[in-house]
Amino acid sequence: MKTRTLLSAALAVLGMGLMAQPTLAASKHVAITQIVEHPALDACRQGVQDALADAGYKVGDNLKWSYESAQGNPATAAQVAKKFAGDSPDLIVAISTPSAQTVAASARHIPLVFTAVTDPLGAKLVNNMDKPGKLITGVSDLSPINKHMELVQQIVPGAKRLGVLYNPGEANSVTLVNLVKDSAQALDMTVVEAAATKSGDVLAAARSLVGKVDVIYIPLDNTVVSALEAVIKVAEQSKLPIISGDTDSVKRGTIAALGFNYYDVGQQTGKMVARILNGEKPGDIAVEQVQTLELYLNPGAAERMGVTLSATMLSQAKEVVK
Amino acid sequence: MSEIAFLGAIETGLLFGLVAFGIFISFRILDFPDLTVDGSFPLGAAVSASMIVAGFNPWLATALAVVAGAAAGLVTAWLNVKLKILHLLASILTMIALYSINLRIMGRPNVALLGEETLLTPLENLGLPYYWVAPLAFIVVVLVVGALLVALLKSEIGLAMRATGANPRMARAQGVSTAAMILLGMAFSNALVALAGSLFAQSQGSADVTMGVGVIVVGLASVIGGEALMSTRTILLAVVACLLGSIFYRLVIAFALNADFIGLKAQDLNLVTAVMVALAIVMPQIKANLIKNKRSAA
Amino acid sequence: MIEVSDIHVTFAQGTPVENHALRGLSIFIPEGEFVTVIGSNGAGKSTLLNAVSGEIGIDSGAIRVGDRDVTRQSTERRAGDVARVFQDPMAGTCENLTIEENLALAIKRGSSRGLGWAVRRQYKQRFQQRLKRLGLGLEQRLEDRMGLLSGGQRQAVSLLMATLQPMQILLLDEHTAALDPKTAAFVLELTREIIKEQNLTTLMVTHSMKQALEVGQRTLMLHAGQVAFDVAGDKRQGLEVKDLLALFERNAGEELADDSLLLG
Repeated sequence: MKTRTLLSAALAVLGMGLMAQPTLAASKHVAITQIVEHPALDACRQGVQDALADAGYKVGDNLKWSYESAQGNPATAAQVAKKFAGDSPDLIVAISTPSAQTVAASARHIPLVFTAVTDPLGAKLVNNMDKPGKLITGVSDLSPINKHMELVQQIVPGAKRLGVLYNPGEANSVTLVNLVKDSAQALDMTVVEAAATKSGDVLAAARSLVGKVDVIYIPLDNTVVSALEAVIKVAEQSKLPIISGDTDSVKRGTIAALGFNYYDVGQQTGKMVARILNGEKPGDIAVEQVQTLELYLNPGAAERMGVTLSATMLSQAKEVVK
Repeated sequence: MSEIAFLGAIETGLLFGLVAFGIFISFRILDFPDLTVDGSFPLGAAVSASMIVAGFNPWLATALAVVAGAAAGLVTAWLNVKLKILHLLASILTMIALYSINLRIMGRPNVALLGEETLLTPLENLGLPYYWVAPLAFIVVVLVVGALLVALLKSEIGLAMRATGANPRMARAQGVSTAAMILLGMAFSNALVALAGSLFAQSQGSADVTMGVGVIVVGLASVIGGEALMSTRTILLAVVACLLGSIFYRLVIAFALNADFIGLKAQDLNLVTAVMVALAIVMPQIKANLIKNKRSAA
Repeated sequence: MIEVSDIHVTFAQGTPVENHALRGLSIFIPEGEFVTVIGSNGAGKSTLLNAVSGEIGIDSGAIRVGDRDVTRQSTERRAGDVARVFQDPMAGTCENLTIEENLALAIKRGSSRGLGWAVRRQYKQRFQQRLKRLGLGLEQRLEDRMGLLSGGQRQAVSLLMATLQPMQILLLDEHTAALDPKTAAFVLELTREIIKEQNLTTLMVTHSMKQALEVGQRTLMLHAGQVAFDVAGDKRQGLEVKDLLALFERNAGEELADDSLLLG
């Protein structure tokens, strides 16, 4: 009985695979644009490509893959968008907010899947997160701030004053800090902001928090993260715990982060792309939030900053940095 | 190259032609190396985008963007003329100050204009393919602005401005207030750059605080490239050269984007730009040497 | 007419290289007089010209041009009353502008500039007339860039530019010194003709004692920021270079060390 079920299941899978074969052979063209070369964005792109391969769309085989980076230049991003508009691929993937906006403006007849966009509503890419309606949908990389704030409370129980270090010039950081304020209030914490508009200002901004806060939170902010060591130094000297929004920072010496990696975000995006290539309408696919969350802990950093991590927490961690 | 990519290059080239006009005024006419443009380009975008999102008429929003650009130019000129700060430094000071000001104006780093009523919206309803609308609109804008620029530079005031940049001592001896000319020229220059920023935001769907990065390099490459492409003996030719230089630059980029067969990618663009500017600078020398060699051979 | 009263100019005040260039200098030049100025290097000739034109400010004293006190006015405000030809032919014209544009710039000296065309048709005729008298064929080359002209040609155009509009005083700053002897003689002759024709009040600085005596109606010698002597009329008639030297030694009480003045 058991063997027969297994056998028929196997046959069914095999049959499905055989039946699926003709559709897979249909050659598709995906164009991908990215505002600038950056490890996280590059990982995201790789994730998209790998997920598509898993779904049967293999580059060079049955998938044409065009990739362009704008080198950080918005005028070039506009031209990349227009090149893609002219090439008429089956779908465009845009990594980052400005790239997605310029594709939305310039390539209006082509399905667009954005990714690594923090606030798709604010960027006017979609009007409705659950049912975008038109040719645009995608994955938002908005940090799960509520969960981050709970993590802060877990690690520093009874923290009342939360210091937030960020660059007000980064679109995503501003969005995150606003969410932090809402979420912290609900947990009865007051937020003290420290702004650094360039990496050279980060040290001074970190020092300005000493004595005013019980714990520091660093959102995923390129400026602050690029000068993270300066913040860690200040925090260790004044026994101020730091919780970060991204997991890479834990390896560099923050206590904890509940994060995601951009490769996973890319994979999630790639699955969405495959659905559209298989015939679903972008307008029917809800904008997704990041699904895979991972807890990273650094007990050594915790000790240097004057807190201890419980054994239960350590057991829940995806990775414990030695 | 596809039609859309080609038209896109023309559109961006026309738009940055306005930037080249502005840089032509500061660098070539006034001999004033002005980096303010890296701030006045996003300033124009910030002012018009914020106003459009707040529900103002796009014409008014664009006009105010131009005024804001002129004010930025005035600040740089004032720092130089009245406070005697070195021109390059004065422009850098204004540029970095504008970063904060642009953030203040927008209230956040990115203001989206997708789906908002812009200057281009009425034209989009005419039934043309959408990728024709912006290039056609910008041709009109650039021709009008270019004609105004030529008329200004050939006027009495324009002549005084040109003398100010070329020989300030002589200009003063002829009764020209060089300080007033620098103030006026810099205001005009940055007003044009802000206009370009405003139109860029309206056609690209957003104003972003980082969108000024490298505007000066692109503008300068257009001016220098135009000078290498054609004679700039008269003011009219010089202004046309700015525009051609800008369009040529964008076509080269479009070509690089479409030149997969020779292995060029978007990430090579900065290299292409540097090579182009360097070539444009040495080209007149090479030309002169060739003529000399021919003569000596004959 | 111009009146310079007791002016003092000090460069680099309060530093070790302090230089008291003009020390209580006074000159009165009535309308229509052509005055030549000589003096050794550092006597204050150029400083005097720069003070009158407004390029440098004065510490004390007053400068009146016509019926206006211009002591505190900028160069460009004075330009309507003070015209000037520089020593360097490159300094007086704009090489990137055409001949007609240079002249169009000069025709507006002393009046306000607007948004009308700078080079108008009626101006062109006037420019051609004026250029024709130079006999250099420049009237055919109105649209050529100034940079294409030789030093002598540029200096001749500079002179035309300076005298295109009426003025209270014409300042000539060793304007033939940078030219070869033949061209210098041509430009000097042109200068004399124009000054005579238009009856211009002129202050001409020269390096050559001979030239200083040959042209004009009055000669000033400056020494150490003051007037060493001032001769005109009958007393100046028949003076030779050696007489000037004797005059100088008597008035200044020292021997002239600058040989270049003798050679010129």
